[in-house]
Amino acid sequence: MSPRALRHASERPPASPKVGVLRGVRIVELGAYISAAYCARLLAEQGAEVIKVEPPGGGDPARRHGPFPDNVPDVERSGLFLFLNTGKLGVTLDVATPSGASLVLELVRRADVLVHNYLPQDLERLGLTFERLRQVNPTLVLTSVTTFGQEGPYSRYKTYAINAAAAGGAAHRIGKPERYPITTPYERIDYWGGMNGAAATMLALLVRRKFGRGQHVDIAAAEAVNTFGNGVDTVNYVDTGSITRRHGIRTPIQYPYTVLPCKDGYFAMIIGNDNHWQRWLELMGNPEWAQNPRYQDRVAMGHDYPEEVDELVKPFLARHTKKELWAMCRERKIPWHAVQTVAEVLEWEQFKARGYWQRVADGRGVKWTLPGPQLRLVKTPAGPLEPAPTLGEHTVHVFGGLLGVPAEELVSLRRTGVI
Amino acid sequence: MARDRVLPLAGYRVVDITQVWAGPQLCSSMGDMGAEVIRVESLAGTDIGRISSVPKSDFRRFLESQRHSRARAYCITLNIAEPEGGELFRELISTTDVFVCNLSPRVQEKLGIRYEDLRPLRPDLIMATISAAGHTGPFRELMAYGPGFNAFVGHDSLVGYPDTGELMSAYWDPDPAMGVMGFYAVMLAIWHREETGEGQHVDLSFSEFLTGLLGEPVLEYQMTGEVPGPQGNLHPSLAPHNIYPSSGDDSWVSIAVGAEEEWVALCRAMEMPELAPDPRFADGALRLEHREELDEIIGRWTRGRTHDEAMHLLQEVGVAATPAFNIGELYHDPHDTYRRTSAPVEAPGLAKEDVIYGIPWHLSETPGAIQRLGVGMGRDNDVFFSQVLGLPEDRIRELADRQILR
Repeated sequence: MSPRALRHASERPPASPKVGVLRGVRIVELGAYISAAYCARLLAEQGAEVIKVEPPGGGDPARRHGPFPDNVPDVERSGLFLFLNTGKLGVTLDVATPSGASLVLELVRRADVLVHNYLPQDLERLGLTFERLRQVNPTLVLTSVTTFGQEGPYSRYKTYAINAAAAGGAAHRIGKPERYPITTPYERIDYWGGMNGAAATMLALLVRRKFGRGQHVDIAAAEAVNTFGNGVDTVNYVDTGSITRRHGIRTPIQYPYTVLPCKDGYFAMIIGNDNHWQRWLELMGNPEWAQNPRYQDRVAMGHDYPEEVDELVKPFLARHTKKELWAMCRERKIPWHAVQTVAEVLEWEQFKARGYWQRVADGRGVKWTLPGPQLRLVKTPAGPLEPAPTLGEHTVHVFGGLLGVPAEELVSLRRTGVI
Repeated sequence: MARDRVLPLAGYRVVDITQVWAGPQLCSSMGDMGAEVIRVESLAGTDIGRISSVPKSDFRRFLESQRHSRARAYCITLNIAEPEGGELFRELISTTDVFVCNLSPRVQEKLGIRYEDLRPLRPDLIMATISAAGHTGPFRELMAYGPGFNAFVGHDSLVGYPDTGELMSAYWDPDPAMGVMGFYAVMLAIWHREETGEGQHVDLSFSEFLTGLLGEPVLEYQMTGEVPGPQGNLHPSLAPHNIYPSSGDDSWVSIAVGAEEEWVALCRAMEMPELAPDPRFADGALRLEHREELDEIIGRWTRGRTHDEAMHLLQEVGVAATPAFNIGELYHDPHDTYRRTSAPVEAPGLAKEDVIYGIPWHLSETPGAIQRLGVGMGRDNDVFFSQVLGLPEDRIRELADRQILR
């Protein structure tokens, strides 16, 4: 069944016409911060119409997160909000009020997908359980993206991204063995939740197309990270009882798998085969020590005496900049890389050649450079990124136009703070 | 549509010649959802995952049993660099819906398996390529393994201890994340094909994908003029926000406070209600300013209990706290056991005590199922070449003798 057949035909968004595979698919997004918003952004950048619902007053807390131009807080200029919400329609609605809740249900009636990151008790309190939602829209795909998922002993537990990184087994593996574990930077586990949400949502949309049925997609970010990311270590634990721990700057499966200082920063010598190691030794001018079999057994080197090998490599690294090292490695087909800052990444020719970066205006009309769509479908490319909505920008369009709420009722909803 | 019986991708044939991790995982996920995945390998171009040079770890066993052959309908070997092997491969592609490949553009061209080479054989073919930098542009031949690319795109410059500035890297997430994102991309291409009948090339670039997770620091640099460095557990607006020592060996608990009521609840739970209005900590900005003192106080409290105790106690009063689980703890944790995140699984071809990661996407109507796993390279050659490609037995033997099927 086509998604277009599932909804009223009369309405269209005000923004420029969407291009991309998912044009014609309508998503409602409820929640805060990253996981649901990133999931919906992935769908939006491929052409879906996303209606983002924010609480009246302050809006999504991501608006207060920053970064802000010159560090001056402004809900219309938060970098995080801009990045996560490009190309969406934005409405404000107090979903905790009875009239707010019924407007949400009206949106859901006309939507293909509802994406949210509420805890199960919040959904119950708001009357937005899957049972209730599917009464309103029997073919709805409901996508939940939280740290622990909607079911299980911890499903009602509150978390921020750092808690998700800890609970998913990621943090325990990052850092020095003698110091505290470090979370994944910039809320990365929330992005993990969002991308798994988008992948599984597409699967559910395909099922709906084929069988005409909706379903509940329950994503737990910590579980996704543990499942997809920790498998090697889990098998190793079950087999041998040994626990993979954090090892500072390396992973001790083989040498090299490490990040070492060079003349002007760091160089990442991460994985490779025996040929790569041989070519590296050649690049270093075949030093005498390299003839010693002790420095040919990359597994023993990685497990038993990696620091010793580091010391032999470091003087060479210290003589070269990361750019020089990167160029020399590329020339010799060694797959190792400079550790770049985000400022350096912005200058990479390849991204420029492929038109990756896009200029998008914040809520005050000032343009910034953002990563473009992360996926390239050659025949059906995503359209240019549109700005993120200002707070409540499309409230009248969506409730008045799409839902047909009369103007006088919109006035009263506004007066009572519902929208 | 009965639950458990409908496999959403049933009827799609996938050919997988990918190596290492991202591509194999993408194809495993498709197989778990019912696609018929044919894994094509060759001793002539060995996969460092399969033929791993790391016998000390169980990496090799893991890759064999779980990624490279999990959910594959057939695991075959075929040397597509030989003309006859290439011919058989093209025959297979002409019946294929999705072809997933992570060879470089140059190698693809040499083998005659670029999208434009294969499209005439199968006009609605979806071909997903995974490469370091994408298949166009001056760096299209760039070589990389996923974790190295975390360094290149800026991620690793953000991971480390802010007090010493030391970077802590060696983090593994690019490959599995690319596997998830690649799955999403293939689903989009299938959606388009269902609507229009058109196939296409999906040009996945590790660097574009990974940089797209870093929008916030990229904007931070532009908006503030400061180049973000190692973050540790610092958060721009939340304090406390850290991972604290708990009782036990290398045992830790994460605690974060984002709202005033959470702060008050934390102080009460620590039996230090007087801390809540303390002039050093009375609001969010003050707590950020005095976060080191605050971490000291909280750390003293967490040291006295296990991470599980701390989590339950704090969650009881609405404070976000979770243990920093290690691998062993996760394997036994009741929540993960409940959701069957990874657990011993009974499946054909699998010893009962084998552990395998589950399917982390809980779809209420079409949960998928682990179809099959754990077979070695070329194990299905006989069945595949006779039953799927319809070759007579003597021809198969002849090809095998001539090292084409290896």
